[in-house]
Amino acid sequence: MNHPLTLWLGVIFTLAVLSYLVKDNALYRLAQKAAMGIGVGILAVQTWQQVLDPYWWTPIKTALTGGPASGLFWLLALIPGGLWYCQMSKKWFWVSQPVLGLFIGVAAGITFKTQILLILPQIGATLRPLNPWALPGGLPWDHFWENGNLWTVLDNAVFLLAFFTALFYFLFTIKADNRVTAGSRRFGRMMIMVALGAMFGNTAMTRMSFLIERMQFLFDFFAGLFQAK
Amino acid sequence: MYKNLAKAITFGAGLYYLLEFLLPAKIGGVANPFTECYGTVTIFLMVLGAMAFFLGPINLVRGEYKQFISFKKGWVESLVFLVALVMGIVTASFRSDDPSTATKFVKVMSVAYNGLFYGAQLGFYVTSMGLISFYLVSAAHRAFLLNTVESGLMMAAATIVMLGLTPAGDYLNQVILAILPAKLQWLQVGTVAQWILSTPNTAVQKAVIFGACGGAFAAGMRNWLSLERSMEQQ
Amino acid sequence: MKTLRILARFYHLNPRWLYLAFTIVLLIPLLVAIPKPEFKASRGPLGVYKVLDGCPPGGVILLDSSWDLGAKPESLSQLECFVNDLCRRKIKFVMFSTVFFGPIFAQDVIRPIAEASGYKYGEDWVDLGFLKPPNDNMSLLLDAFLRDIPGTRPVDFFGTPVKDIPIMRRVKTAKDFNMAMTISYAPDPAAWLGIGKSQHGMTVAFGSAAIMAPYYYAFLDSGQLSGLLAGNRGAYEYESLTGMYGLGSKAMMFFAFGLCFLIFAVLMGNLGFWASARLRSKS
Repeated sequence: MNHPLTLWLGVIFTLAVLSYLVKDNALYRLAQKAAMGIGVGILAVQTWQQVLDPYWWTPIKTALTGGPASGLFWLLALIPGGLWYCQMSKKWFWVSQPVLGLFIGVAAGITFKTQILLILPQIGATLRPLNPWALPGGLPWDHFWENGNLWTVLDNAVFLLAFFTALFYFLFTIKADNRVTAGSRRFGRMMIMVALGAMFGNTAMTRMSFLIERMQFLFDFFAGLFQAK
Repeated sequence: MYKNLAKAITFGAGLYYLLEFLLPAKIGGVANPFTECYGTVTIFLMVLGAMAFFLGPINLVRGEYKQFISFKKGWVESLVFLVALVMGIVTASFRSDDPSTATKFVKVMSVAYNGLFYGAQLGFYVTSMGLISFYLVSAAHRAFLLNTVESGLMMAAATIVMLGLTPAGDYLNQVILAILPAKLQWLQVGTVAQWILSTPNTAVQKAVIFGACGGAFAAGMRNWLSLERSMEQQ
Repeated sequence: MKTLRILARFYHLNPRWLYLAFTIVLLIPLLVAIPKPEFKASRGPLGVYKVLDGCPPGGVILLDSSWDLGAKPESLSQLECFVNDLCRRKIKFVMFSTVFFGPIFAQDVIRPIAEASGYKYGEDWVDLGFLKPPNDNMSLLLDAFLRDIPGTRPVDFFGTPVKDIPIMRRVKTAKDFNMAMTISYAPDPAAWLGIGKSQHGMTVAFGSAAIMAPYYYAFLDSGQLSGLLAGNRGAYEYESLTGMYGLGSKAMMFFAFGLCFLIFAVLMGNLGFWASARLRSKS
């Protein structure tokens, strides 16, 4: 990874992409096409080496060279696998419907299972207690304001209010034509904006991490170059 | 007739997974047959999915080749794509993870592969993602106008969370700890940022999760029963 | 009036000047060493640390390192700090990936750490390589994988049959692992928490990009997720817990400067907009 070819190609492609900030230019477009071509080529080879060869071709090859004959059943996978390529023709596109339908059905079936398993614990966790005396330690009157349970319950109240108003905000079938529903929708929108603000902060961090990594790379490269000279 | 076959396969595939989930592991002392063949079915689907991969590259190559031989605007870029594709295929096919035992050709291919992957591709993709942070800054400068209560709330939450996630906020916390009395020390930027993430943000995310779950169920049901209009029209 | 004109100019600034200023601001931490202050780790990294506290030395964890080019900066620092801690605690791990280049990127990080800690490949750790989720549906893959690991992946990354690998004789299903850690741009909650946690009873923790972290707080709150490393900050907080500082802490000062500049840009943009509006109303 520290080979000069790797480093120089990295620098050239990094600067080519950064040149887009000034203006769209031919260098950027060439770099884009080159990266696309390299990626597609490598992925095609990896698909064969890491999936098709060990799981499909190896059992067939083993069966043909004296191994268990059950490996030959994998040859039948060529039929549905070949149907995919009918999508390249407008005239024969309809032939690929069964294999498309297979994956749609599989996705639907597994969705029911995973959504049920994912959402049931969420329902229990969403219903937080609002009674401070039901929490461990209760709420003794002599330490009313210092007691952590009071603030926990207030926090829970804010949480539940935010949850139900945000859920209500997305219910477009109910009209917001009175003060209660309009107010709920407004509060829900405010809570959604707070969540979006939190997401914006995290988004900025993720995007900056890429830029920081590249800047460190460029700095290390040019610092090494000048040191060597 | 053929359309009905596709619908029957869709229904059967979904039914297999539903029955595998709903039926117990043993039915009257007999093992659930759907569970027994689960691994083989998954590997079969993995192979079938991998066979579909080449559709994308084939279509790309067709488009770029047409562009190249037409010699119209952009033909040089199409040529670069095709050359890079061939280089990617050749280097990935002949490289080795253990260059010490490899021939000179394999060693050259390994060096070329590392250059193309770790140098060119990584450089391009990571920098492209990094470009977005520049656009974030310019968008924040021009478009992030605090002219309503909601936008003000959003910006306040974003500022507190951003400060709370960086050493700038940690420095601010130290100042707050030094200035404020003990009862108000929960006002540290980090604490408020964590509260924003744990309470209003979690509440809204849960509301979104519940809504999305309902939508996923509805969409899954429509797909399973082939009620989608796009599937009707095909 | 003059002040209003200067402020209004900020609003109509050519964005390229902003890009240049942003670049210069980000260069400052590269040139000047700024010490980082102390802080308390948040519940996400603390959760991961506590789960590992409950894992005995010699225990085995399942590590899913499914990241490549699109998530390298954040996931690399998370993987580094997590594997450092695993090796420190002498916890074994079985690694796999669901993206093509995942195993290669992961090995670039794991190999030097494992060798420095005296870990032997095959006995203390193993890389099962790439497993392709059928139709990119992680739930399908994970469901089959966690029921029968050798059946779903009969060879490791190097082609060695798993029956010949010592560590794989101990682990056949999800029940044999003390925890599962998945480091990815956006780990799939339906797969890991629906299948892994709810169906197989695994203890699950995520390492994700910061952009996805607010979404996973809902699962952290419900207890489905035991820990969360969110972006570089998550790696940095985890490094502070273990005392082994690496890539996570290296990047933090850049974020401080970059995000402060972002906040400054928003404030100047708003001041400029207000000044433009005032100038228009006065003229």
